[in-house]
Amino acid sequence: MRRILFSIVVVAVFLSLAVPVGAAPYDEVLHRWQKTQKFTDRGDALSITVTYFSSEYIEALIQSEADKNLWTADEMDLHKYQLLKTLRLDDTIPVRFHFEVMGSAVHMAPFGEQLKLRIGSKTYNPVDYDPIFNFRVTESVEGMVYFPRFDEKTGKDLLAGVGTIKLELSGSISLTIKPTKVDFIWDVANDDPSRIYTGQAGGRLEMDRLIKRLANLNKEKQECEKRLGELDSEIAAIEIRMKELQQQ
Amino acid sequence: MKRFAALVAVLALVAFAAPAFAANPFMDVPMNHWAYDAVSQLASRGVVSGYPDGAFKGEWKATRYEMASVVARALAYVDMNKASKQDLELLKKLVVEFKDELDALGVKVDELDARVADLEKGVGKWYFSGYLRMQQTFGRDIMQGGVLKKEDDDSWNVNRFRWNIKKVIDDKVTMNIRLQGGGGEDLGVELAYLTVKFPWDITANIGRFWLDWEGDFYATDWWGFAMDDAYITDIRPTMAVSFNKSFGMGDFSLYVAHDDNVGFAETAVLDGSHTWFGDPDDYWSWASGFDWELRGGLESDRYIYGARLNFNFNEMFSLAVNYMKYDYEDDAEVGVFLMPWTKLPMTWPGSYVYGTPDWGFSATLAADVETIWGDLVVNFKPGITLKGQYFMQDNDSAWQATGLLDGILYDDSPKAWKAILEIDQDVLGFTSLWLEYAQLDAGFVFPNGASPYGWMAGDAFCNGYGQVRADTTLWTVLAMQRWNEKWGTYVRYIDVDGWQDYNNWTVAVTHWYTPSLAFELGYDKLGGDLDDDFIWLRTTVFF
Repeated sequence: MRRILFSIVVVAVFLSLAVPVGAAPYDEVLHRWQKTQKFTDRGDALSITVTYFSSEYIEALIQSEADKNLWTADEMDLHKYQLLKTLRLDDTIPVRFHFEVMGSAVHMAPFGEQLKLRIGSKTYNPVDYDPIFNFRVTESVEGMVYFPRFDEKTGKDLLAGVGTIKLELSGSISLTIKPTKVDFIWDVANDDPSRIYTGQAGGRLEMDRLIKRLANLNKEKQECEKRLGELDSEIAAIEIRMKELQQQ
Repeated sequence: MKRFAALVAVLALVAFAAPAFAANPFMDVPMNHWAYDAVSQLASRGVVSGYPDGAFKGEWKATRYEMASVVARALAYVDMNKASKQDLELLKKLVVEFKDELDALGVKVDELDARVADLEKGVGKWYFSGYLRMQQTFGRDIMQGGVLKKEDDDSWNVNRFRWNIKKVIDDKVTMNIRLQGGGGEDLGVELAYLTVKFPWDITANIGRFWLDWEGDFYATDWWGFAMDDAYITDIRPTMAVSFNKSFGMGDFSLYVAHDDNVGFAETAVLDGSHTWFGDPDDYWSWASGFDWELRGGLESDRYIYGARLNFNFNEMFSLAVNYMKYDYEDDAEVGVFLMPWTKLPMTWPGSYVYGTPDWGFSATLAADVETIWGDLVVNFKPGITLKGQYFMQDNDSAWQATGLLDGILYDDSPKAWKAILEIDQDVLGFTSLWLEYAQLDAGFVFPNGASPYGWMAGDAFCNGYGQVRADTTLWTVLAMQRWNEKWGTYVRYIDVDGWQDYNNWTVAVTHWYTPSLAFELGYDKLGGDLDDDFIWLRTTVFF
C-alpha cells in the first residue's frame, strides 16, 4: 500500500509540473489573476472567484478569445475597445466577482458595504457595483465591482508603487463562511495599465476620453458664460440706476 | 399624392396626440398595453400582491389612475425575497410610465425611487434560507456496547433541517441565527450571533458561532460532510467573542469562549469502599470493592482562549501562528481506569483519571489542553498549493494517564504535523487533487471533540476522549471531478497506521437535478481492522 501511495504522490507532483505543456498558452496567466476560495459547512457550500483585471490578464483574455473565435486584427481591436470601456480602467480598479452557491441561498445585501480594497494601510469601498449582488443568490451570479483608482483629495494613482493589494469580503455574507472575513490577494507591482492602451482600441478610448473632457469643458464654459452674462446684466442694471440717481 | 399627404398628416396628428391622451388619468389603459403583462408577471411570481379584488388576473380593464395605484401598492408590498433584478427593473419602468398619475395621486416618485434603492440595498430586511436533507444508509455494521456488530443495518432518516435567518440591522451590525434539527436531534438554536464593525478596522463576532482557523487545511466533499477535520478549532461553544483586526497584509485575531459543564453528565457516587458510576444498570455501571477515591468533578466549566497572527507576505506565501487553550476550571483528576466490559482497574498514583471506554464512544475529558501551531501556505503556481501545519501541545497530567489503559504513559507535550499538496481542477482539467500526509504522536489531543478523517477513522486511532492512542501516520487522497453543472464525482482514500490499521475507500456520484435539489449516491469500504462496507444516498433540497 505504501508503494501505491508513494506512486500517487509522484504522479501528482509530475502532473502539477507537466500541466503547462498540455494547457492552453494563456491559461496560467488567466488562472493567476483569478482567485477562488471555497467554503463548506456540513451540507452547505459556497465558492467565490474574484478576478483582478491586470494588463497581463486583459491581454491574455483578449488573445485567448481571439484564438478561440479566429478573430481578425480589427475584430480583436473592437473587442478590446468594448472590454476596456466596460472595465473603466481610466478611473477605477475593476474586479469581477463570481459566486457559486451549492447550498442554502445567500443574501449579501447591501453588497457594497461587505467589501473593501486594502492598498497599503488604507481601505477603499467600491464606487460602483452590479446591483445583482444585492439579490438572493441560489445558484450562480457574477458581476463587476469598481474601486477608485485615484485618491479623492490628491488625485494620486492609488496603485503607484504598491506591491500587493488585498480585497476583503465580510464573512457575514453567508453562514457557510466561518472566518470573519475572506481575503483575496494579488501582487500588482509589475502591473502597468498603460500597456494596454495601445493600437486602435487605445486611440478610440483616448478619443472617448477627450470627447468627454471636451463636453465637460464646454459645459463649464457655458456656465462661465452664463455667469458672465448675469454679471454683465447686473453691472448694466447698476449703471442705469446710478445714472438715474445722478439725474435726480 | 394628396391622399398620401393627408394620411401622413392624420398619422402625425395621432402620434403626437397620443401622449396627450396618455396624460389623461381617466383614460383606459389599452388592453394590449405592456403594463398589464408586466404587473401580471410580477403577481404570478409572487413579487407583489394586493390588487383590486384581492388578486390581479390581468383581465380587468384599468384606467391610468387605477394602474398607477396598482403600481404604488406594488412598490409598497414588494417581496424582495422573491424579486429579481429584472423584476425591479420592471417596477421602475412602470413608475416611469405612470409618473404623472402617481404625482396626481400625491405619490412622490422620488420617494418611490428611494424605496426601490432601499429595496435594492436590502437594509433592514429579514432573509431566510436553509436546507432539508434525507439520508438512507444500507448495510452498515452497527456499534453496540462498544463492539462493532457484524450485522448489516439499514437506516433511513430525515438527517437534517437547517433554517438560516439573517437581518442586516444597520451598516455596522448584522445578526445571524440558525435553527437546526433532525437526525435524532430536536430543532434548536445552532447559531445566534452578531457581527459588529467597530472603528479602527476591528470586526467582532459575538454570540454562538463557528470558529475555524484551520478551514484551508482539511479536505471535504462538495458540502463539507465529515471527511477530514480541524485538529484544534472548528468549534462552536455556548457563547464566544472574537475580534479581528486587519493591518496591511496581516490580521490579528483574539478569541474567548465559555461553556458550562463540559464532560460526563454521569455523576460519580461514592459509597465508602463500594463505588459505582451512574446507574448500576446501565452500560457504565461499575460496582466493586476496589479502593479508590474521587479527586475531582467529572464535568467542569471551561474557557477557551485563542489568538492568531496571520501574515501574507505576498500572493504566494503566507504564515500564521496560532495559540489556543482549553482551560477547565476543575481539571479532572478522578477515578480509576477501567474498561467496563473487562472490568480491569488501572491506577496512576496521585492523579487518577476517570476510566475511558474503548473506541466507539465519544466523550470529553475535562482537563486542560494548550496548543501552539503554525500554518504555512505556498501557492507556488496558480492552482497548485503546498500547505503545512505543525502542532505542539502542553497537556494536563490527566491526559498522560489516559494511556495507562493501554499500558502507556503519554508524553505531556505531544506533537503533530501534516503536509498537503492541493491541485485545482482548473489545472489538471479533469480532476482536483488533495494529497495529505500526517504524523501524530501518541497522546495528541483533539480538544474540539472532532472525529477527524471521517467515518470510523478516528475510532481506529483515537481513544474515547479524542486522543491519539499510539504514534500514527495518515494518508488522505481525495480526487473530485465536477463534470458539468449537473454532475460531480469524487474518490477518496484514507490510510491509517496507528492503534489499529484502517483504510477507507469512498466513491460518490452527485447529481444536481435542479440547483435546489441534489442527490448523492456513495459507497464506502472500510478495510483493515474495521471491516465494513455500505451504501448511502443523500437527498438535499436547498432554499
